[in-house]
Amino acid sequence: MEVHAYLPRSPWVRFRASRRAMLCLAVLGLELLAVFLLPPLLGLEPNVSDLEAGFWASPSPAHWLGTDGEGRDLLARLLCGGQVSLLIGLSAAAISTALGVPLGLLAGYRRGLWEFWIMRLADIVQSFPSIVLVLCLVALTGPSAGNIVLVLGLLGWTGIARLVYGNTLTVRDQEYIVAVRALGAGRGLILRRNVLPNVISPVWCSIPLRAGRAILSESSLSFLGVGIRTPQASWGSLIQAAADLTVLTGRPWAWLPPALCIVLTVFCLAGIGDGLRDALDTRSRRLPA
Amino acid sequence: MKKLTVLLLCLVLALPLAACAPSRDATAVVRYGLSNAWDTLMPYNSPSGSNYTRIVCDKLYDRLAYVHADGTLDPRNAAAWESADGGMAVLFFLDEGAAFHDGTPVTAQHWADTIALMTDPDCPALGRSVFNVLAGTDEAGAALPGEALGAEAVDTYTLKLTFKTPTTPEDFLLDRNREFYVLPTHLLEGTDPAEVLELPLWQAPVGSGPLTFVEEIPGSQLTLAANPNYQLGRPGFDLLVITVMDKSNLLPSLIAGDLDYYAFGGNLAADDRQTAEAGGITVLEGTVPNSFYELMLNNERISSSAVRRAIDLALDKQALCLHTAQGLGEPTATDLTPGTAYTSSLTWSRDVEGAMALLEEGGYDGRTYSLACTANRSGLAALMQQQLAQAGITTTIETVDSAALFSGMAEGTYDMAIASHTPGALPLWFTESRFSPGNNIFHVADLTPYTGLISQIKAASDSGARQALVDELQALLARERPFLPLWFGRTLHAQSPTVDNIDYPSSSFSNENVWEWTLQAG
Repeated sequence: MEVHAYLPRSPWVRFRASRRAMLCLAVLGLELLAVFLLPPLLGLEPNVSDLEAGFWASPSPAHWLGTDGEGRDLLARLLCGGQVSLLIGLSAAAISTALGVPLGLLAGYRRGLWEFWIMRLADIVQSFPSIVLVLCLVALTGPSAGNIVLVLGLLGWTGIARLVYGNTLTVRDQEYIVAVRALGAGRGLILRRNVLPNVISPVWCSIPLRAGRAILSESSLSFLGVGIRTPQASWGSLIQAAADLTVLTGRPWAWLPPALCIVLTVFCLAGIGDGLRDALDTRSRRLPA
Repeated sequence: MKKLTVLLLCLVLALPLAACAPSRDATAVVRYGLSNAWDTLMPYNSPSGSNYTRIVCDKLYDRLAYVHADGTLDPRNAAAWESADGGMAVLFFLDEGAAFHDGTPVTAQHWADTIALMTDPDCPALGRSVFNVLAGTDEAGAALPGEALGAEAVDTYTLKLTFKTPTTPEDFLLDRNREFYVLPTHLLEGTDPAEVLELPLWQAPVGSGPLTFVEEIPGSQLTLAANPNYQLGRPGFDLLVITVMDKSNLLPSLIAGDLDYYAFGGNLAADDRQTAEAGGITVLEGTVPNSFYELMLNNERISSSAVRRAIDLALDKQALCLHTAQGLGEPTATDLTPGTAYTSSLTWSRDVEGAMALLEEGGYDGRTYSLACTANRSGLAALMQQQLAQAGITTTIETVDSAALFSGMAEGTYDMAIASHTPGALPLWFTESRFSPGNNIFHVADLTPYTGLISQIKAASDSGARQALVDELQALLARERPFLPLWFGRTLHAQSPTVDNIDYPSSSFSNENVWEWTLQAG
């Protein structure tokens, strides 16, 4: 007979039990360390041209990843571009969460006009093709890392709000909430102490995925030429070089490393999200006895 | 019964196979690619005034001359020309063999009537301003009432054009030939000038060019046939099919054999050379400059000429040229096109320390200048930004589209902007349009010194005197540096694998020698 037991101890212990999630976390941690520590340690200059090495120089001991079309070191630009891409991804996810969670809670718990206006607003935002909307807003506000973070963050709240709204609808009529309400607890206290802890688990899981999606969105914007401002680099702006047929076919060192970094980062963030889901959702996660 | 069925089946199968057999009267078709559509087939009514419309009209209608890329001229509708009235007029002796596609001979009266009709104030032609150099017209090219129009037929085949200022035939043709076409005015008799542009004639035009109209899918495809009676010879093919396709598809289509040629002159970016050669396309290096790069300056915001000269000295034009033109270009200190009749002794060299001294002299206060560029030049702007920073000049780069760049400079939004142009053979090809009260894009406080010299150069008919005045103007430009000439670039041409005798470089002057093109056999 197969015996199952509910996972014991804290979510962190349960997270550690997932090898894939831990591997993803380690790789992402290494990537963050490399991106933020290596440029100052190695004295890398992402915006200085080495005219002696030449334009589009292939990889060499002086330039491990070669140079770009302006003679700039591609390793330096890859690492510094990673700072920008990761900051944009994580900041946009944070803004989306900070907006989406309270709005979803309010819509689900208060219902009535709150529910109507918040969810209709979410419908309107979601009904536009996201890339077109982001393109228009970035074009209007001007291409800069700050504006991209704001636009991606402000437009990304709807998914999280829907997630929280759905779970809040389930939780708000549970007996323990009715009991707390009957005892005279205030609305804010109930939302903070009783509802939020019971609806937040899926949000933690979705944050890494949203960060990954924001990194991809920034890459798309940079590829389309409305990303960050020249001469700043991001992984997306580095891949933009591949729009040229000659670079795409003859200079893979210029676009392959940033493309691999994006794939690796998004893969790691997805793995961490899966690990968080398993660690936080005690109902579905069991260990063999 | 079975035999009969088999026989019928064989016949049915044989019919489509028979259609695959080579036709006895196979048509020789030249497939021609164009990256943007023409906007009209009426040459004087193009809303954009673009080269795409010009290169199409060049085939349907005849012009006075054929302009080579190096500035030399060949006869076309005019077999010869000479100066008259002390340099105020030019006589064009028309080719007596020229005829419209309906067989009517082209006469000087057709030319005079074309100009009279298009300059008629009631005729709403958008391209009328091309005639504003002629006597009896205003700045917009409209005929002035009570004044004699500077276009008359002296006899059947002699056209006389009279100008407002002394103009040599060469100056006129280099400047305006691509915008002067002869129209079939014998088909327009009795038409109200106000309604002439509405005629169905412009949907299926009758011109006197080397090709005749066959059919058009507006904005997409245009089919033209060889004019067997063209006075310079019959083109060596039967049909020319012009297809509009995305710029990025032109070279791949040429390699794949879907195109025989693409405008303009099979123009090829240096980066694509390897791809073209790997695809079996022969690449020719242009010998005549076809691009001129400048850094536009806002003289109001950068008011000190010492600071403007410092920017000039701080830039490494050689590196910038190498970056953009990949060796196909030469840095320059002037806007005079190399290889033309006009020269300058001014030279360029980078001097960062000299730039720093000039910045101090000019009282540069460390302010950050905005440098506008189009997206495809952001790398060039980043290089400039580094070079200026080495001299202590800080800039921010604004990436905008071309229209926003020029309007932004005109409105004073940006301090600097990178622009490129197709150079001309005339000494004033660049400066005349840039130093006029109507187009003071550099925001020069006092245009008088420039406009005075420009007028004198235009009026000088003696080449020695003109060269001396050109030197004076260039010296003034070097002292004041209202804009920075960067380099003249040459282009690469993807040679047609199937069509011979193409004059690739001259295509950038919006004329193509299609009457000399021959489609290779097979």
